[in-house]
Amino acid sequence: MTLIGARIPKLDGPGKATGETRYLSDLEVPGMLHGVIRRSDRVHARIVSVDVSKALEVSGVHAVLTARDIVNVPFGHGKDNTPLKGDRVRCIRDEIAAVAAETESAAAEACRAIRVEYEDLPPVFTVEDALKPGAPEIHAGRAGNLPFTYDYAHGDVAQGEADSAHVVEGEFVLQFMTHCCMGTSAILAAFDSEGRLTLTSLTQVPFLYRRDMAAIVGMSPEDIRVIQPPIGGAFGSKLDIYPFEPIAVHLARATRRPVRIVFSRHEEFVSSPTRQPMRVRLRSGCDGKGRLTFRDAQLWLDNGGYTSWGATTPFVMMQTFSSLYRVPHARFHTKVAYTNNPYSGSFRGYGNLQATFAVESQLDLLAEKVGVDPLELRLMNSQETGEKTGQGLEFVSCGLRDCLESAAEMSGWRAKRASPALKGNVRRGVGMASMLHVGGGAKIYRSDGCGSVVSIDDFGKVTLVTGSTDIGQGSETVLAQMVAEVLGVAMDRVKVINSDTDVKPWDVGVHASRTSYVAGNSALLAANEAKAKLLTAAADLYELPKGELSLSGGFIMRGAEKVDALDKLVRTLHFTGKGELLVTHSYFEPASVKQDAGFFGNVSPTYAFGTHAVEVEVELDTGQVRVLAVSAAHDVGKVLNAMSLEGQIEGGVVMGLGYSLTEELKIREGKVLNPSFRDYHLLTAPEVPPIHFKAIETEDPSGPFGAKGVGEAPAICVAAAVANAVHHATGVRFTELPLTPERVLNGLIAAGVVRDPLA
Amino acid sequence: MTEQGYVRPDNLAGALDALADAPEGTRVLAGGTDLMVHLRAGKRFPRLVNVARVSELQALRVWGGALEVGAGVTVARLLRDAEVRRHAALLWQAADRFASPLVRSRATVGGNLVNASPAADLTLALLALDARVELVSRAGGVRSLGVDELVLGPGKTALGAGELVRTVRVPLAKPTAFHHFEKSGPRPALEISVAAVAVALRIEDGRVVEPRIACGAVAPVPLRVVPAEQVLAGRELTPALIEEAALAAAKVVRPIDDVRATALYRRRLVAAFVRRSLTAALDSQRVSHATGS
Repeated sequence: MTLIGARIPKLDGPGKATGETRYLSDLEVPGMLHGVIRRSDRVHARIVSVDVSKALEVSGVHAVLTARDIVNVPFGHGKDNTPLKGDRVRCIRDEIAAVAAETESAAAEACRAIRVEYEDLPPVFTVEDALKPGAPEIHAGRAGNLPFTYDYAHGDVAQGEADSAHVVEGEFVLQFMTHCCMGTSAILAAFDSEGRLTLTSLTQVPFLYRRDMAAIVGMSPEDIRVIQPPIGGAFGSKLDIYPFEPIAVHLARATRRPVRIVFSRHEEFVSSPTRQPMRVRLRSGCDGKGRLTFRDAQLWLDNGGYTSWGATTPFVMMQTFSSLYRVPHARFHTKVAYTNNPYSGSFRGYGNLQATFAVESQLDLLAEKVGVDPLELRLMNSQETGEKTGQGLEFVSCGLRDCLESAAEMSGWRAKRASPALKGNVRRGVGMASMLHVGGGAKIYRSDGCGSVVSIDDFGKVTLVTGSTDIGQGSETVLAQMVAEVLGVAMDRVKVINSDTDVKPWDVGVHASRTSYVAGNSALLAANEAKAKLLTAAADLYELPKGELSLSGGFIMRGAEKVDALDKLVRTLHFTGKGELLVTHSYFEPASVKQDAGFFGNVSPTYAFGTHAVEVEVELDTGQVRVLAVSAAHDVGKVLNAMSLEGQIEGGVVMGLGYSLTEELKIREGKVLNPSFRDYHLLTAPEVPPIHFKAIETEDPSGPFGAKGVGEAPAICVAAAVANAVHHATGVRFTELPLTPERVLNGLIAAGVVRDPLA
Repeated sequence: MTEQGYVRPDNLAGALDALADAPEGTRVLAGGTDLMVHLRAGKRFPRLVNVARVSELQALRVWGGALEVGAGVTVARLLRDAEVRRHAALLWQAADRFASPLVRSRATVGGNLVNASPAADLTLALLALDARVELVSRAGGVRSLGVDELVLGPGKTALGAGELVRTVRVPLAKPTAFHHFEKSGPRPALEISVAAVAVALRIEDGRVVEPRIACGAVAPVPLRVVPAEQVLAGRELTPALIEEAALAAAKVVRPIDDVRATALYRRRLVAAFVRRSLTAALDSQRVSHATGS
């Protein structure tokens, strides 16, 4: 192998680095109008009247739409959202009207000129209040504000309790976090003269998007073409349809013009989805030696005013409660409740950061009770290749033990763990945590498959048309590598087409760390078929034994001897006899199953594992936590591209550190208090610590070249490792994120570790 | 902003002319790091006077027993200047913790003063350094104000109609001077202070002389904590005295709860930062004793 595992720069890198890449916000088409949305000023109110007369007077305005002007079709996972809100608003994001105008400023001015009269309704801001008897009903007919519950169990928790020598119990509170994509949400909707709709969209799921959008705007899916332009980040935020997207379609339809909507940064903070906030109550037990006996989890999720994918994160979280380490008995119960807060979507890790924070914090507590090193307790309970978990997850490859040992070694665990360093006002400590996540997609639909077409033209240029989607994670590059490897051509001979539903075959979309695995296997099938076709043709043409032929350096080879050039052979195929094209296609469906009603079943064909060891420094007088180093070991199956893998790991770790230390979208009474980068604190380059990374190669038997997905993995266990390190440094256990200086100082004072400086 | 509302004079006289007949609400544009944020947020001003080309605002020199800093001097230039580091270490330290490299290359000393943010880092240092701010206008000539006379409240200054900040004069630090700047924040860059403390004092014959302690982001204006200064003046620095001064400072500040932190945490930070600063002073004294200097 020559390309697999190499350090190959991303194909889209130069364009992005030089500013040549054009994003949707750069894209203007002739006749295009700008759409701006008028949102609610209230979090829960009846809309008494909407007066758009002043908006229509603004120069340059082509259309002003309210709920009365469109067929308002309910949509979303709970079918509880609509593009425009007519009679009632339920959260601060709510779309009341939309304007299309010649300029963005005219549209914004018209929006401001719309007069809305409200009659406030009693609001609900917490899950606890939402579930109280007699609480205000946020959606008529959804009694008890309880759209969803999730229940899962294996084994017998009572037996697990009985088998336990030690039991720990606690509550964990996880915050709202937002994606902070560098490119804000955007869409361009344009109808052609035959009524076909082209959506230039940032969606992560173009084919499901066509189907869902068609239903919302009253069209046939085949009349909708989705074009996916280069994207400034997604991280899960574009997995669902949000109201602004059908609104753009309605505006385009009403004005007979292309309409583009681009969120302002403020709008992005207030109105794009968040990571699901929640409260987790967990009991964990182990025997006298430290072997886990049971986990019993109860979760309360704030659904916000409407349902998006955040409400379905329990599906992923239960895998961590049931299957991260060997857990003989597990129980999981979740309530998802409507409130008048903003609603959450999908976000890299899909609930797993939250679940892992609770599980891995309690592993340290159990280790302390037993009196063993946290590393030893984890090694004692970690699974091996070939094991099947209580939930039915089958670990056909499992490098968890290697991850634990490698992270410990990279971090200098044993020496640092032995004595937490103390230096005046500063204390140091190390902590660790591991993760388990799907590594080859998740079969949540009937198909989790992906189609590919490989063609080789008469000049030897190879084109891969893949159903999959690149949202910046680098799948285009990795897929090109795989095809180039099989066909024995250089990277620059392969072109990947992945951005037009009129051209590309079906794929579920980019989520669940599935693209390298599923689209990779799919591309490999088509590439291998193309290879077979080439070798057969060469064998026939030159009357050579096919088994002795291979592809390398752009040639058909027989041993070290060049038989024919690839392009020449393709031309011969085209122009000789009846002629033949070198085009192959494939469909790959992973060997996973849709889980049953009790959530049992092997939902992914393989699983990703990882361990992070984190060293921190805590300033006692300010509560400031500084991360000194992160040592991350990940079971990636096989390294496909060492450079882009490191990029994924580093990006994920930094995202996890932001979740741990600084990032919180602060919501008070349903309103966003910090809708700007000034007050929403992303980590910036100077605070990013050294990140040591080791790839554990378990060579997954089903993965392309042995690889498994790792897109979400590196963000998942950071927070738990940081909290465990802070505990090691200070002796104080923090169960609420982020670990802001104020929260930490309050905790240190409350625990008596430091004296109140004001006392 | 309308087209006629933007002027870019080539010299000080032109700037003063542009300000002299300016409509109410006119703002001076220098680095634009605060003003552009307001503009992006939709705020409009009847006139903007861009002083980027006014060379008279670019002085940076030792002159007449003081460090003279032109209002148009950028934070990045302060950081590059050896005289600033030597004669006004506190200003240099504040500049070093100021925003990010990008912002530092645009933001100016005059802008930081006139923006009148309670969290302004340079203003805090200039207050502790007892700097004088020189204002000029076409009608009124020159007048000079202390920092606490210039900055009256959030976004509010004593600048009169037609007046422009020309220079800031910072007394040169004596050899016995000790300067220390402390600022909160998880991020070394781009942090708006939750609290900041600037300390300037001298230690002569083992005693604290003319201590000036200024606290940022804990009152409507950068605030001198006079009771804490009084605790220190004329006394010998000891851990007990440091404790007393830290508590006095924390008591006198008037912080608020906001999205960045609670008032209680800000008070605790003031105590911690005053303690750190004075402990550093004590340590520096020990070092100078030990080396016999």
